[in-house]
Amino acid sequence: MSQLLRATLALLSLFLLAPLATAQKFEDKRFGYELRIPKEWSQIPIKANEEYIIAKFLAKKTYFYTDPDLKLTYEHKPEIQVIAFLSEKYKEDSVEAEEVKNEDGETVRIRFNLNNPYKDYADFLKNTYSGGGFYIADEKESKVGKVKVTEYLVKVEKGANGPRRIVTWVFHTEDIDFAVQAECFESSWKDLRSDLTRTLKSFKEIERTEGTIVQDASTSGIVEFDIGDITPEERMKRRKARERDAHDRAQLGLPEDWEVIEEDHFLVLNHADKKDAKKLVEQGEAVFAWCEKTFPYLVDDTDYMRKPILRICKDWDELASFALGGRESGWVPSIDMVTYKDTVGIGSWTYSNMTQRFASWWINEHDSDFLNAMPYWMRYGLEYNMLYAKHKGKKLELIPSDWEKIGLRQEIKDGTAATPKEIFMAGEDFYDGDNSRYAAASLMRYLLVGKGSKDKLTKNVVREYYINMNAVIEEMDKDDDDREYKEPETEEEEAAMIKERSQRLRDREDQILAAAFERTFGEWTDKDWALFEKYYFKSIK
Amino acid sequence: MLRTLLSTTLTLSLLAPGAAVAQSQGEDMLLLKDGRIFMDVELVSTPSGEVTVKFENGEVAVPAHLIEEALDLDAPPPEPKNDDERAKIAEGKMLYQGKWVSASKRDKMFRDEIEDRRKELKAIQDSQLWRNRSTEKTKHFEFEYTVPPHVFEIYRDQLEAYFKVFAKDWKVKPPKENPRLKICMYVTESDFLQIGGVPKGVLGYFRFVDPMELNFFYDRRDPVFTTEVLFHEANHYMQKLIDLEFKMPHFPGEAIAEYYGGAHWDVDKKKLTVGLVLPSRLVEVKTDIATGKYWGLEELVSADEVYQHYTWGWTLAHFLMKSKKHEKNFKKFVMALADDKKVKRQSVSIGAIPLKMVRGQEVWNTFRRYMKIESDEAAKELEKEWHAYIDNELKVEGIRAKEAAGVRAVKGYPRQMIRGKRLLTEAVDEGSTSPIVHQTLGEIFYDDRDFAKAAELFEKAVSFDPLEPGYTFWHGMALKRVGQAEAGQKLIDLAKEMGINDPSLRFLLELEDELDD
Repeated sequence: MSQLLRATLALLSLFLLAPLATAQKFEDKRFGYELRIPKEWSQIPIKANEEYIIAKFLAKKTYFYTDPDLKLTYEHKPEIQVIAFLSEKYKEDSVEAEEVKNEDGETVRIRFNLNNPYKDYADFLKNTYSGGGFYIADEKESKVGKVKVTEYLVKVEKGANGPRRIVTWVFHTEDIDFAVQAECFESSWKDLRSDLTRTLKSFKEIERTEGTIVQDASTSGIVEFDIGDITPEERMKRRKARERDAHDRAQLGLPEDWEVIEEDHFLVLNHADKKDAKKLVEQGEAVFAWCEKTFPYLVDDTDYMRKPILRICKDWDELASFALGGRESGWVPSIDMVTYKDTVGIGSWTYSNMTQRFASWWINEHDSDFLNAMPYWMRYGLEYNMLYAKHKGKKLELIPSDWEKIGLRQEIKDGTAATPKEIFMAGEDFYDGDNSRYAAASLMRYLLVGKGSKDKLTKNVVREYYINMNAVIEEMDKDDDDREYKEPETEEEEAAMIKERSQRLRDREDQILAAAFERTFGEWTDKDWALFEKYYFKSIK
Repeated sequence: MLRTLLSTTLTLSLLAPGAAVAQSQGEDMLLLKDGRIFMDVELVSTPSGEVTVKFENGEVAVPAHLIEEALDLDAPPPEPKNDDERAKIAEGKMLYQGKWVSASKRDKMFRDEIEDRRKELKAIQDSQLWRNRSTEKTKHFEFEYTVPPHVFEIYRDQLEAYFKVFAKDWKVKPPKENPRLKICMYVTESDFLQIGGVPKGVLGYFRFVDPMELNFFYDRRDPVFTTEVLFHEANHYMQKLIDLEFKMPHFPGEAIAEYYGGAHWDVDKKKLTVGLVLPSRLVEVKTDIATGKYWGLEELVSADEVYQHYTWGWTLAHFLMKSKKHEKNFKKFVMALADDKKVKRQSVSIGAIPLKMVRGQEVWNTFRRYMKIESDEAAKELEKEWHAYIDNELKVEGIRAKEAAGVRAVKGYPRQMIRGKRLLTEAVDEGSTSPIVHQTLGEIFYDDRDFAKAAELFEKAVSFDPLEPGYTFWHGMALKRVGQAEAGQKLIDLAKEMGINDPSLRFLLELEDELDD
């Protein structure tokens, strides 16, 4: 062979190898496969309770599509997912159902294991894909090396934000079917075709040297039912075990460029800057501290508050890719608090949303009944206060929004502002009105941190109202349980029963409000109400 | 392309008299009128046209009226009708396609025909995948569909007829630049949800901006309801033709769509009757009344978007359209929403497509003006007239009405089991041939622990649709309860075999142990 020919061939082979040389090799030593991912694509973490998707990758470049009729432009970042379908042999090792007993040997909990409910990739797609209406446009068998492959071409057309193409190769290995799925706009396929095809062709089995598949994948779908009373110690033990489980799962397979930070109240998984994580932890701690100070009566020494996972994505696209697709097992999804690097800061939607989530988490961990049973004025009051709250250091401050100030001040001027008594007694319809939720926020703030929180007459109103309302609900539930129902025997009796039940449901809300009000404020005099009103309105002006 | 022979049951024989040629099991084919295709099954035909399908766990007799086509390779040849025919057969000749030919020639022709037909049926089966969908253009529509052609033809013809009726009533025409609406018809609900990109619970939809498109699915167990959905959605398109840039408000839009949805298409006479009572909607309205709620006229008409526009709105449209006194004004009111200059409209846009719409309060103002309601008292008077119409004129009458109302009463919310049981029993007593009705009533008796009656009803359901595994499953469960454990289990095994790919049966089987307890 002449030197010129050798040089030409060498050059050619360099050209041919160039794209591969810049692609990234991804190895999964637990499931035993490797892939070459296009350059500049990043790995996305997997949700703690995800059951099927074992890896995700997102392109750096955003593609655009403009609908020719609507003239709307959509954007999308191409994505690759690896989905694992385990063979029957893994199911044999996992537990189908397990009883959990307390110290007295009573069954207090039953755990069911939901093993792979999807028959295959097509079934999985049918039940989990949410990007629009789709159909399998082509399906054929092939081989990559010695591995049999089913190639799918899926078209996403109706109801999609831009027509998309999903190209999936399912690699049928001895004990696992690996579906490597690439998704992009139909219009961007021509640009991506060679990179994505190369990735699909690069699939290779490697030795499994890390972790075990049974524990880490097929047993993740656990649902639990509590069927008896458990002791505070058992509850604490269980919460700690759940927390540990969630934290372990969240860190499993976390991409290398994500940082794990263990804080006093949070487990932070960070893909943003350190300072972003620090700010968010500070915000969360300020909300927790405020809750502890404001609702001391909800704290029980035997309670254990689990540390939520603060997962901070570097941007919105990463968050969207993380959140979409797959199948989650149904328990404690909210422990995984996902957000993204907030470039606006205090006052942004992301900031407010996290404040609300921190507060909900704290309350729910201490007394889930409190969160569920709040009357409207309390619920909207707390929600709107958290929406506009701001923290400084470890202190959270409740601040009225400008809309609230303008709206309520005008109402006071016009003499149309709702009085505290009216707000306490208001049903759901009231909250459709202008400023009504601001009124609830204003009243709640007055009672929790304003003059009302110091005034002898009103400082315990929130607490007492809550206790009284719970008592009323319990008594009504007991009455309902004790009531003897006669099954209808004629159509007339059936119609009457439906009418009566329907009316009772409508009346129940009013009865609860009236009874809780009576128990809390029954001994108040007109003078008490007049003073309350006076100071409350004054706090708004 | 299907041949004309399709309309009759085609039972062919490959056998010359006395010269049995053994066929391997599972080479036969069955196409049902409701569109189901069974390939590679073993059939046994009878001269009456009934066909028995052989399964490992039992045999299922399918009545002739359910069969569109049966290809039974082992079917006995037709009996000779006279001495002349007997003589020809004795000479070794066979009658084939009206001619007497030699057995070998007939055998070859028959094999060729069977092969062609097998390919055609396979093509029909393949065309149930959206990627292989069939297409057809008619005068006003452009269809894409995955149902078998003989099923499609019924919906194609009735939709064209429906368009003509509405176009004449409301004087509308399709746009010149785009004279055909695309209609996508799916063979199953599951395909409709997946490919149409809509959540569970949606029955059909009309995309009201370009490119306009209507999507719906074929419910083989309830073809009448399939028509109702198609007519409802198609009506939104027809309302759109009043003014392409106008979006009809929820009321009267949904109410009129429901009114025209209540239509009946006579397949044989090819005749359409519109404005019938919708029993399922009427049951919802009567249930509201039973709970003490009568919707007010202003409350309904001025609401921007409430579910009751489908139910109470339908009764109002029915009342006004059926009234000589009000029909003309009501139609004028509907047209005025789009074209009366005095009506206050709002401009909205979906992407670059501009649309005009009218809010609920303005709909009420316009309604008052066109219905000549000059005072609140007059409004109350019309409301009274409408409520009286609901109480006295809208009734659940006839088998179909009782069937629909009964099923709705039993499966809707709040459940009215006594009322439902009465309506379904009446439907059955009056001669209902609906398997769903027998099945639903059977389940009520099963829950009441009257297993003998339940078994009787399930057996009837099976007789109306013997290849539906769910019915056979329930029949088996009931038999087990009346001491016929072995027979019951056999039916359950047969149901499992028939429904191996039926997701609804998978759900039932999960309940099997629970029901056994």
